[in-house]
Amino acid sequence: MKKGFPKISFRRYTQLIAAVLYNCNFKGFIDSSIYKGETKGVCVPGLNCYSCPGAVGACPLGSLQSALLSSKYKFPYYVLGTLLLFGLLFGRFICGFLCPFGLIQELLYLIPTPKIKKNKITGILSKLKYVILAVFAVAIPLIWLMPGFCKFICPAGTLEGGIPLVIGNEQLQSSIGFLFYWKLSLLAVFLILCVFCYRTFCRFICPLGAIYSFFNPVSFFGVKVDMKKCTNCNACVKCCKMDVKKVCDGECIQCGECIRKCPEKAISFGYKGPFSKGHD
Amino acid sequence: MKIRTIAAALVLCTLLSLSGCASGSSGNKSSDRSKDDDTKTTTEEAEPEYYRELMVGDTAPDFTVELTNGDTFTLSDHNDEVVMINFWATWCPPCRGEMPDFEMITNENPTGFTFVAINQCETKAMVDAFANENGYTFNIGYDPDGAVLNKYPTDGIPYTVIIKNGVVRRLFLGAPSPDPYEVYMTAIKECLAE
Amino acid sequence: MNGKVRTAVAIVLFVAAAALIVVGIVSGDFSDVFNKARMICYECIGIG
Repeated sequence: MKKGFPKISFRRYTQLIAAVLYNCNFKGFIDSSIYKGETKGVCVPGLNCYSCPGAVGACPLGSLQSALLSSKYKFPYYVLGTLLLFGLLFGRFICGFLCPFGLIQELLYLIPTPKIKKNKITGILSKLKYVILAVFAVAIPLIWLMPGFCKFICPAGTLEGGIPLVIGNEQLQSSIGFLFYWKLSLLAVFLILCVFCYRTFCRFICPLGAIYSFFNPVSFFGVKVDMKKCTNCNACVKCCKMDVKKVCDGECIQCGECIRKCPEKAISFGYKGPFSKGHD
Repeated sequence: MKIRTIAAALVLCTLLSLSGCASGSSGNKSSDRSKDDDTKTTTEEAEPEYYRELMVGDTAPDFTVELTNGDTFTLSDHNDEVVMINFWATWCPPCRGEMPDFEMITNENPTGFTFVAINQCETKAMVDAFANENGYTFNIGYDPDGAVLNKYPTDGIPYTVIIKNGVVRRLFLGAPSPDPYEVYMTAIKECLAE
Repeated sequence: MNGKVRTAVAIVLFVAAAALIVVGIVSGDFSDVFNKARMICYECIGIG
């Protein structure tokens, strides 16, 4: 045993604050009811189910799907605008700092077991999230008019929304069937995998991460590399637990682990948007 | 070290302020239910400000809605009947899924029974478009600002309430499976016979 | 991507995002999101 508390990083604090902020309707957990205040119309940046009894905001991915369901009657300006704004400002910085389900996965990874390192297969699997985005979060809502990702996959929804609601509501207990057990098993699979494989869900499945990944190259805030100092030693890519091929590519969750590992101190956090210094 | 103290303080502050604001703000929404847990609402002449989730045996709050066919529907006009109220939305797949069952039930037209499907907070144009596309003929009510829904608070839809003589007799959260028609029809017949 | 292109893309996207949000709020999208987030459909989140 090491003495004292394990070091808690600034990032971990941010993740915790975000998780609490998103889900601060504590009363909801007690009577298993959903918060109904006006703030529910605002999307939070991270993946956080709006059917969680504690949730005070909307899940951007859930809102996107349910907006696509009514796209026949109405174009989803607001949800698309919100996603675009979040992506542009932060990119996958949101995954690294502001996502409660990312936090849960990282905490599970702290359990000391043999770990699966990133390899060619995980590299290929990391493209799977784009397929999930296209099929479950866009095509199924548009064509079959159901929120495919929320309904069939989302483990965050099962953990934050499904389980607490079913536990607290007898009427719901009588209505659960195959679908709920399927999602429960899927959640169990992801949670177990996360112990051995860093952020399994984020890397391979999460459509929200897939959306934000498109913005990583242009996002305003995040990790940046000073190319004048960089010697292409690749220490950053080697130490990274995500399937990155280059700092700040689509797989980078901007967690900043590589900042400490860079022997040239070429990597830093900061503003890298328009008119920033060395904007290239 | 300094950063961590600041961060710890920040966590604490957020927690405190949030627990404050969460309990503060949740109290003044009309759909909040704990506020009036002890006051059994709904029968009085004066409209209560808060409605709690209904249970079987409660008095059904009265309401009036405008229907797609231009008529209006007032619950208290049907006090001597069995009334089934369904809350739905066009974006809700299970709600859409049970619409054909409602059509069948309405077409059978059991004596002493009335059905109304109240849309949840969507525009009249959307509701009309949806009803026309699918050719539904049963009573569909508009509730663009959620006034009726506030009297029948629920966390989820579809939500179906069967009322007899102004008293709630059956509640359905979600679409019943496997066959909504069978389940609803059985419940309606039971209520009619009771 | 070179700096100028990136700057241009970022600015265009930022303006687009702001415009979409404004149009969305004006056209009542906000209340749509609100209504769908406060009144969920259980089957849609996998309870069923």
